[in-house]
Amino acid sequence: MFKNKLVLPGLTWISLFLLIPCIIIFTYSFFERGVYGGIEYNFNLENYVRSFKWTYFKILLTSGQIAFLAASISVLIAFPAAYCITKANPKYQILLLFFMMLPFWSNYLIRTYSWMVLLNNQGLINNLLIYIGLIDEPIRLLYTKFSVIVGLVYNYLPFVVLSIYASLSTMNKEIIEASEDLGGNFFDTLIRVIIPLSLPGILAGFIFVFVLSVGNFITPDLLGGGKFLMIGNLIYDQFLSARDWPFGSSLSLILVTIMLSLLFIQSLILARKKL
Amino acid sequence: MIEVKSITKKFGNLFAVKDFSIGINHGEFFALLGPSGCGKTTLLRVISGFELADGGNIFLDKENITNLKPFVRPTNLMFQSYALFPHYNVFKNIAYGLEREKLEKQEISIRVNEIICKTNLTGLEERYPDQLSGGQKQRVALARCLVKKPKVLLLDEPLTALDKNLKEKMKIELKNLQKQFGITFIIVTHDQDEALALADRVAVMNEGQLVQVGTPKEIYSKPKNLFVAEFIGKMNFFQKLKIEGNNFYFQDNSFITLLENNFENPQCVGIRPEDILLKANGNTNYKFEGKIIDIIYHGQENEVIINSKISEEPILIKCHKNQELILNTNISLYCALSSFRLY
Repeated sequence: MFKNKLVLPGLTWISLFLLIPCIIIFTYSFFERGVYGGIEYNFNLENYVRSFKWTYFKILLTSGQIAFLAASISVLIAFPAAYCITKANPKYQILLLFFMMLPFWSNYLIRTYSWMVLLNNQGLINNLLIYIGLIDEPIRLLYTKFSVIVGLVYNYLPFVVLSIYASLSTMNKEIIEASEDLGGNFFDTLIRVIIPLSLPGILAGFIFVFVLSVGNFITPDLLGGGKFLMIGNLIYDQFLSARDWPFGSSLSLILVTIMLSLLFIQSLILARKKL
Repeated sequence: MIEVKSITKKFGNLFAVKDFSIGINHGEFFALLGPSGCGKTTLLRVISGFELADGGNIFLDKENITNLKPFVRPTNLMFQSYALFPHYNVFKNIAYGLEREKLEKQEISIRVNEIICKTNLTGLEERYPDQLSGGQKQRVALARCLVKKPKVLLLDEPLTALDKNLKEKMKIELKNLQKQFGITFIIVTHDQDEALALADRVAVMNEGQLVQVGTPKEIYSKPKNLFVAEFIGKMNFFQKLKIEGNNFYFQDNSFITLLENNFENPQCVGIRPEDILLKANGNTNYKFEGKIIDIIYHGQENEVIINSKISEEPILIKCHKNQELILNTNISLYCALSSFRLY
């Protein structure tokens, strides 16, 4: 079946630590929570019915909305950045990418806490705005959807820049020049040639941020102040606080299904585009 | 009429094009010919606006276009890679330039269909570039430029990517299209056959400078210097040993009396392989002996390599397929004095 034996270590790893846990979660999702936690092995679909009740479905929608905004904003910021890097002297491109990745090598929690310091009522941003006289009293920045989105965008931005940069830098420069030569100004060229041709990178970056944001529970917890739940927090709570593993499992599976269908749609679009 | 006046382009400290001037007439098929790295593509990119000149000016019909952006220049460039838009089909690729001119949809459609007919692309309108053959891609690239009716069409190594048979076909097609549209074509190539076959006039470039400009016939029969003589076609060279007056002495002390002494301090004398004949005729007044050491078969006209006392280097001659020559036999060869040129 496998002609090349080199595939075996990777295959073993994936089976042991990805496939088998997924199967366990899948089975759990059809059972019930025991009175003192644990699992009661009574087959039913109750967990799924419960997942789609408005209380929980609303959380799923909020998560999707926040993840969508974070992904869109990331792409909007990353595209110009990646474009500028490809336009820079090739000697400095690697250096620019390096500086962009640099903050990412510090700890995720520390970076998130730093944003708490910045966005606080007595934080740098509010103090600065008051100092310039733009506002009289601190505006609420922390513990809002805004701060959660800021945190998510900040954390995943470097990957989006990299993915768009990869698309842009491998593009045949002559195609862009051909557009200019045929009378296309900068905006024509950008909208009709550069963006369509870098769509694989843009899409990959977008899905990357969306998928990681929708299941994220640390950022909403710290920067959202636990004021609103995202699906990641809900799952986290089911497993660690409510001790309702079966319900948590069904929620996880719904999330995984959403992510997989997104990746599937992405691959469909790319196959059709033939880029 | 396009006038290039002392154009200079530097990359760092390196002169890619140096003080280059040339005038190209309206409706002319003009070739820039030179070895790789001679600056011919850079010059083309300066004319099309993708590189800004460090010095000099370009005039198109008396208008100075030196600093115009590519998208407002009345020139179009056909790229070496063809640079078709991979996400647009053939029709959309060709229509792109007209859409940028904000023309009416109907007019665009009429003009695109007209050019599709003229370039033999009928039936391929819906295809995407990756579904086209090399020759078809090239015709789309050409149609995309021609549909804009540019004053000058610049072509960067247009035939390099094609195989030999297709190349011959496209040569004829290019020439026909150029005549049909009456547009000035400036083609950049490193292939001398291409330049000679296509162009009304050829400019030979070396190290960023113009070496010689003239009709293909002038360039081939009267190369200005050793570089042009070596670069265009094949040539046998005989190193200078002794020149007395107009007498040039070969290695075996036989000599020829040259009709013209066109150089101050000549290095050698050269003769084209096809000017060395196997039979004497009224014009031949120099004869030498040689031994056939190799025959290279090409089909209609074969190359024969001769060892002779008159030169250290083997001599190349051409012979028709009907001529029976036998390896390792001695033969007599004849040439006219007018075929020799000093370099």
